[in-house]
Amino acid sequence: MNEKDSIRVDTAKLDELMNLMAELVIAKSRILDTLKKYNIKEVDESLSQLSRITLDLQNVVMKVRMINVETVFSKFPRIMRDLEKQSAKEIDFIMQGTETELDRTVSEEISEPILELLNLSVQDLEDPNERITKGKNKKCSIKLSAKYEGNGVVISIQSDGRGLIPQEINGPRQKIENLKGSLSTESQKSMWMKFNIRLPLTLSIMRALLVNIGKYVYAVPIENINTTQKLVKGDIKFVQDREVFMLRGEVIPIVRPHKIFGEEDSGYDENRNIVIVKFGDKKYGIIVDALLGQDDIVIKPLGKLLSDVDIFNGGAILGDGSIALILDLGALS
Amino acid sequence: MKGDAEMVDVLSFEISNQEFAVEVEYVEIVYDMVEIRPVPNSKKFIEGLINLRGRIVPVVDITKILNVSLGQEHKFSNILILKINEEEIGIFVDEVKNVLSVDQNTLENISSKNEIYRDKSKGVIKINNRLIVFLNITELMSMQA
Repeated sequence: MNEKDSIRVDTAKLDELMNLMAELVIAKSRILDTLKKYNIKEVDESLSQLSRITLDLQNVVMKVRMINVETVFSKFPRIMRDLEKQSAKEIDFIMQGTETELDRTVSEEISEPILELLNLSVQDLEDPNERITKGKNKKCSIKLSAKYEGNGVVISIQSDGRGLIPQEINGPRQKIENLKGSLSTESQKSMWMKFNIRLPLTLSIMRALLVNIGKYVYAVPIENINTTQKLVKGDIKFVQDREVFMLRGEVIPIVRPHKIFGEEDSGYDENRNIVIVKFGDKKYGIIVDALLGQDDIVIKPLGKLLSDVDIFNGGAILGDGSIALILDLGALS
Repeated sequence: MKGDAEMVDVLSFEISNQEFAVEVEYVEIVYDMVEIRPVPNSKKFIEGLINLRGRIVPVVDITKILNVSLGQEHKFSNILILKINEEEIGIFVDEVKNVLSVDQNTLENISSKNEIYRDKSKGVIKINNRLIVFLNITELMSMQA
């Protein structure tokens, strides 16, 4: 972009814009909810137009807040050169996907955990001599990359050292989870190790399927939903000690939130629904009492007092003023 | 340590015929009882969440931290909204009484069988015939409770 065509904006103004946007999304949902009851043909067109405009506006506002991960990544090459010198290891440091964009707030907070993970990756690398005796290239490689995946961004750090996942990843993990992201690891011993940081594109607005579990409303992120289905008798089968559902020949493990939430459960599944979700490489089915439809929700934090409750990712205020809890699909599986 | 008076303004409130107080600086607003959305798997003293003008605020029943026994039919009628370390937290109360100016150096230390009170209470305020437990609210809401 030409520098002449851009202006500096106070970030507080952007935050305010985002908050107003969020309020607008809620107000829109409320109007739609109310008018649906009356089924007035004349407003249908204006309503769908309003929906479209709000969605466009939402996208624009979100984009305004996005910045290139380049701005976060740009300081890493210098840091890596320092680490290289200190550790007396030869490191080939590569960065990919620096044009990927992230929410400004997420970008600001993500730099520290990435740095910690880069440090751990360097520690996992062997000394040049050890590498030679192992038949590995004397020069180590660490690759930092970013790419879009689903409704979010994945930042990966891959290194070709001993492949021993370090114990100290809880610090960075906590910071990543505070950003509503997740950290997973993969490795092959004496070959390589990979950290995957999964981050949401934006922290505040999400399209969700609202469901009833017991008498309360919960929200499931649409991006993670594979399909939903009404249950009929015999759909849920026992295999060994697990309950499963067969989806077009595929065996899907079942999660019963009633049990996890300590709610009374009749165990009577007929007329209930199954929501099949995909999270990371896991696929599973959640048994819910009723599907209430899709809605745009504004994610609000539950606060420090509830930080120990890992099965929810936050809450949202619905059109009728009630509160829905957002299921954390990683913690639920 | 006797010496200059160390005055602090507190708001007193009643729960089950006992009077408690917190520093006025932590108090945001008194709210009528509203619908509470319970949160599964949360700490026992957290009753749930309320919608406070578009914000989601957790509500705490401090009698469950302080082991105050309530009558079976007991129903709280108000929520006192506090702001502690930039976070809003609601606590159930029966009735909000009044603001008092208290000298911190004249608090009574009433020995308690209950260990909980050692750090969760700053002492007892004695005014006329009233005995008011001056809560150490930041300690009370310290997250490990």
